Amino acid sequence: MGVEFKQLSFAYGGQQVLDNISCRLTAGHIYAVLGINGTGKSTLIKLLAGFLKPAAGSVLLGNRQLKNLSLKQRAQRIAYVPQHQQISNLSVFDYLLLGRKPHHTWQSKRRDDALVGSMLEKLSLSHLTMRPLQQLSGGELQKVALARAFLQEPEILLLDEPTSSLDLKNQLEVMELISAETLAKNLTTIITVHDVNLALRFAEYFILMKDRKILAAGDLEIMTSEHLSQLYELPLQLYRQGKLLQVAPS
Amino acid sequence: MSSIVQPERDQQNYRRQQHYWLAIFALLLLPAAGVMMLSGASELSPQQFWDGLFNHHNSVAHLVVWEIRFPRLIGALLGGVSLALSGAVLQAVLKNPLAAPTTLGIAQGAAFGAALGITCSGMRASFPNLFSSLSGFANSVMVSLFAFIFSLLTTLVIILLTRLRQSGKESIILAGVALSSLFMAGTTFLQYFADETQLAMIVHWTFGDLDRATWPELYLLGIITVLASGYFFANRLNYNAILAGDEVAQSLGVNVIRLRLITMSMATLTTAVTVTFFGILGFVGLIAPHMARRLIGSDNRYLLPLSAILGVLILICADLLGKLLLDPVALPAGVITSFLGTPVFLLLLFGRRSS
Repeated sequence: MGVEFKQLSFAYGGQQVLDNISCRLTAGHIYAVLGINGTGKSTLIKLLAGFLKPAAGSVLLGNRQLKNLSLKQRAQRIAYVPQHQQISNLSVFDYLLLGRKPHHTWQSKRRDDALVGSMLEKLSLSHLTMRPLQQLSGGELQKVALARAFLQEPEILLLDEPTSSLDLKNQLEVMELISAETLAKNLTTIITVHDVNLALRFAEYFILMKDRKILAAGDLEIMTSEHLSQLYELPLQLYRQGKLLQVAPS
Repeated sequence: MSSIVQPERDQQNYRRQQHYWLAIFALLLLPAAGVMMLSGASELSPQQFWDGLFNHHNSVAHLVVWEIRFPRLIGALLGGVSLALSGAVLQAVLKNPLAAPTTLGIAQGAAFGAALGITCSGMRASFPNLFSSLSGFANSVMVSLFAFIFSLLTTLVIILLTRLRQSGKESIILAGVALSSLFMAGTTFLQYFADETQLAMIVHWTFGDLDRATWPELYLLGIITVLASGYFFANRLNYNAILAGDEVAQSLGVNVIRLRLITMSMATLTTAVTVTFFGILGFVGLIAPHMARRLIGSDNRYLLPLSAILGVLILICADLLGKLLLDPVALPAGVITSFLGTPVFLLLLFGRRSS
């Protein structure tokens, strides 16, 4: 299912955060939202998740208006992972079962247990099954949070800075998980990232946000030195290294 | 290869273990209830008790069993369940381990209401015109009514504050502390001007006692407790979702704001009724969920039932201890729970093993 937002605006109090932005996203791809702090990247994610109501404009999931969907209908279509996970002493298995919540009414069923079990195996997290969340490392916690979102069987995956607090190895592992699931389940995945090189490596489409507006949106073609320098207000240079594009201050 | 993977098997074993814990504590209720039924001011042999329970409808034993012992047991049951569950769900929705009926000021509001009721019933003889609209009520009913109205008033203030500041969950507890001290000051004010009889009545009212409730009151409390417990239990997975954060819970389909509001209303209402009928049974709503969490973890599917069971056990033990400690003087259960409360609570806070 694709996502489209049209003439979307939002303000916190009197402070305009997003001003009349529009974009159309298709399924099966990772979209990286880039921009400096405070340009409304997280706000965009929250508007798409339905946590915030837009001041103007609308969000379409497929051909349905987001605002016309009930909370449960939204939960069956959209999964969201915040930047920081709230920890508790819930076990990893019970935490993952929460991801199945939109798909059952009174309590979880055998099938939900089986899905959680195979997800843990698939992501090689079986050794953490009974571990309380508060005893996990940052990387483990982020993978478990992703597994919870995958178990929701969404069509749209919204991830707010999924790699911001991880080491290099975990950054790559987490992004590979996201990439594989996006391809396998034909998801529309939207992530906000600060690491441009990570975005260049994993995302296929880019939304560059500056001053409450979209500076540019599109595939690799829009990732030019000029756009990026303008985006980060810093002279930046793109290099080609093998098949990969990389960016560095010039 | 079997179709069940290892994580699933681990989970099944874990659930079985949790069910054993619940079963063990539920079974403990039976001997506790038995001892409670057999102990009391009038000595009854098991034979007399049995006769009183089923035969001899006009014997003293029958009167003792049906009018004193049974109401006390049912009181412990309902009071324990309502206070412990209220504490557990308040802690869940406010995400604050200090949330409990007493820390939100509901009990203190009830105490002030009762004090006011007692003062007014004293003034009723002197100023019959002023209280003509209340002349239909007996004094005891009026005291209960006032206690209920003021605990409800506290509830309303707290819920209004939650609505006003939807994100300020921490400030709710502080508001509770402020309301408590306001009502305590009000009670002190009334005590200062009360005559000796009234003073004794006001002070006596605050001693939470399981003997106090009559059958009609227990019916009312029973209905409210069952309704509230049903709502809390139906939302056990939603409380689990809140553990993952408000936004994540919402993305999982939970209407967090509505859940918080209804839960708080239900919890404070059951507490208000309980306190009105029994007086202040301090710390039960705070300790029972904490003990349960240490024993069984934070998963509300197990935490809620175990909290309820522990709440009942604590009240029964407090009642029995009160009868045994200074025999033949029977201390009210509320005194014991408050005494037990502090050391148990400190133990829970500071005595945890480093894991």
